[in-house]
Amino acid sequence: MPAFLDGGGECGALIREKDWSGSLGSPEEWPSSLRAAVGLVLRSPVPMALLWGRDGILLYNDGYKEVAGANHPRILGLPVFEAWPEAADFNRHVLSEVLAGRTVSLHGIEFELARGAQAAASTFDLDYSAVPGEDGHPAGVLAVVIETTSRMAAERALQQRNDRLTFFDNLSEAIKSLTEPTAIMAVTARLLGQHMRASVVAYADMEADENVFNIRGDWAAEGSASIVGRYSLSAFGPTAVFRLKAGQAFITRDTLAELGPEEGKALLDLGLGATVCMPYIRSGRLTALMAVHQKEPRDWSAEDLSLIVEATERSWAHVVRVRSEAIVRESEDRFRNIADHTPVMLWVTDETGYCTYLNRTWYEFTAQAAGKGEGFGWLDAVHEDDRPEAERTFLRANDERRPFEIDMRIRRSDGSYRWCIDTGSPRFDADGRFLGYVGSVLDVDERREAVEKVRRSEEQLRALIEQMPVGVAVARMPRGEIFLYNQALETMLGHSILSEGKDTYDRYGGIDEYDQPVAPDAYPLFRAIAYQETVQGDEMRYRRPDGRIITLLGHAAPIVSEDGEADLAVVTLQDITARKAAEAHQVLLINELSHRAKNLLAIIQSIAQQSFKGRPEAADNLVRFEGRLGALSAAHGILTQERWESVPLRRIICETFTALRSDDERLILDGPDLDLPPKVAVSLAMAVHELATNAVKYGSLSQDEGSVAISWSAEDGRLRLRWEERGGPPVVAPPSRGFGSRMIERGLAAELGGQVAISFNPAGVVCEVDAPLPANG
Amino acid sequence: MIAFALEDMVGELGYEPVGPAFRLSDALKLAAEADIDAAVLDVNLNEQQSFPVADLLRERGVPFLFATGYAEGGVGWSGVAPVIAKPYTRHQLQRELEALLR
Repeated sequence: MPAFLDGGGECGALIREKDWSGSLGSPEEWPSSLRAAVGLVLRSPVPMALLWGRDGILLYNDGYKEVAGANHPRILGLPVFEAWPEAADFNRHVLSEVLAGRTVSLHGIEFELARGAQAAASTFDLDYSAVPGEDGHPAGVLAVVIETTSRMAAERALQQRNDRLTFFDNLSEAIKSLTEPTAIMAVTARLLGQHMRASVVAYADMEADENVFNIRGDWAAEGSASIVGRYSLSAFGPTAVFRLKAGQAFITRDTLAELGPEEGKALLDLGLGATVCMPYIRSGRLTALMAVHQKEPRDWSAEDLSLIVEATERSWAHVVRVRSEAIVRESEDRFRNIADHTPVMLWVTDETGYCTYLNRTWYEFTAQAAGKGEGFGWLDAVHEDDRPEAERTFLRANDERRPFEIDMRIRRSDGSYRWCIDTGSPRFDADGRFLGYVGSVLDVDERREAVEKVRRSEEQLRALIEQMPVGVAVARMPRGEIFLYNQALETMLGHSILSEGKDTYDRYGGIDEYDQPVAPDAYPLFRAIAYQETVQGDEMRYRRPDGRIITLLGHAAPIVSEDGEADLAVVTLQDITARKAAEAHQVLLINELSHRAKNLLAIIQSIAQQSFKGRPEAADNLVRFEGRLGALSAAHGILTQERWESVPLRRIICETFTALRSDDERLILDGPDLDLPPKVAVSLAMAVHELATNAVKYGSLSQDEGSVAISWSAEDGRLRLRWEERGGPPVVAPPSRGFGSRMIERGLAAELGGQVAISFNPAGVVCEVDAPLPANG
Repeated sequence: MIAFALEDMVGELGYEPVGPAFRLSDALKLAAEADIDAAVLDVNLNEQQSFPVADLLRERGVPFLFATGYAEGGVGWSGVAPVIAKPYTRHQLQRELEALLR
């Protein structure tokens, strides 16, 4: 092995073994310049090749193998025109230049080289320089060959990516502030078309039948026509229909060639030779289309397609967002419209508790300046005493995200504070995320005032009942449970009022005269409740738990309200035990007095008897005296029975009369019932006694057919009484008035305060009384 | 009736009875206008106390005495006057009247 080939790698070995006869000859006999050059090239890691001589015999190193590809090792030692026929012209040029002494540098040059299965474009950086021969003149060409295909590709890809990013930046910038779907599509179409240098970019809505579509707008390059209009998808051929409906892009790089003149007719008639059409599917339906068209056939690259896909998706996404924002805005506007017309105050807060909305009703009610209520400004309208609690309740509810209710006073536009109820409910979105609260504020001042009034009046009732010196209890109908009573009642009865059940009735309760428990309907309250009875002045004996028996005076009645219904019943009880004892004592005293008075009268009678004894001329007087005394005594007796209060007129007359005569058919009475005070009763009794005594002795009663008619009336506040004797002997007036007449005319008149006149009419004595009636008559 | 007995008694004692007045109003009239030298005044006149009459008599300087059925205790009048208890004898009355007119 010649030394210069040693260590030359694979290529060095191949050079040694190759048969060089017919071209360069055996390597041992190569000129030293060639040997030096080959030795240099073989040892260099940089891809190099030598083209030697006018034929450009190709010698290369291991680094060049990549460039050679599948042609290695065949092309080693071939003339360059044979090795690289596709670059023949180029190599000829290089050879001629370099062998003439010049260098050739070409960077980034592209060749279509057949190195493997297919010819592919490759780029190189090539530097050619001369290799001097033995005589110093260029004998060969040294080529340093750096393939930059992948670097170029990477650079190209990077550039493409940057272009793409720039495109999308521009697109985003252009559409971000647009709110109209049409505008968004139009801008996208224009930018896409310009960037891709397409002919037409169009966008369309599908109708509900997923066939008819309307191209709403498009962008057309110079020299292309707009294709706005109404179309039917089926006219574009089954492939288009199938793919688009399936949600896949419909792509033709050469419509005529791929679809044929019939299927492609619709596109070809529009002057479109290549198409990329993107479908937009919503809820399973083909809803819209966006298409990039080229007049001539165009071999869309993967980048082209990816760009179109992303651009259309972005713009549709934006349209969707804009549409849903519009819907939200519309629904917000609708909400606001409704809210502002609602007579109730409404508010909305966000998730931080910040108030984002208060309706017009709030602002009209509070007269806060527009917008001032938002945030936490609404608290200004709340009464300062209620503010801390309102704020606390609201924030706490916000933390817990629970509904709440606050009572608070809100300042109305007229400056007054009205009690309101603020009710709030939390709201959540479809995913359960907390959004804030929505609530209402209701003016309940009147209702609250009404409630206050009721409460105050109940309090007053309670206070009133407590103040009353009698025992009071109020019970609800119809069950009769007592809900209101005073201390006086409990003290009086000696036990708690609240029901302890029926089994207590043997321990305490109403009792009859045999000390046995009375029936429930003996209780005034029971009757008021059960029979709607009004009970007045019912007396009942009552045994207290401590054993003491008291007498109660009870009044009970149902309480009828304005609507005529009785909801309540009331009972008042008075302890009259002391009074009854006093009354009993009084009766005792009166009886005792009466007894003593009677005794006194009896003693007087006997004194008179003794005094007049033995004087026959006084016998008449004595009888008279006894009679008068008797009448007085009888009158007193009646009065005692009546406890010296008042006596019926009729009774005085009858009893005085029958003391004298037992046959009262001779006495005819006619007149109304009338009560006389004690002194009047006594005087009248005495008068009747005198008249009757005279009638018996001298007047009508001295004969069997005679009678006395007493009639009286009580009218206009005056008592008019008439005593008339009938059927007696003719009357003769006495010469002078006796004691009896005087007593009657003057005494009775004086007692009655009126006039009394006795007339001695021939037919019968008549006595007339005319006196004012006492007020309690 | 008691007044009649008094009227009689006064007459029998040799005086001229003026009245009787059974009512407060009548008594006041007599006390104010009548030409009298002395008076006998029942403490109770028809359920009313006769003190106004007593005041009037005192003013006029007419001597008088009280007659009362109530046993014990003072008469209850603001001034000072003799008192006799009912029933009284004519003797008692005579004595008191003579003392009044002295």
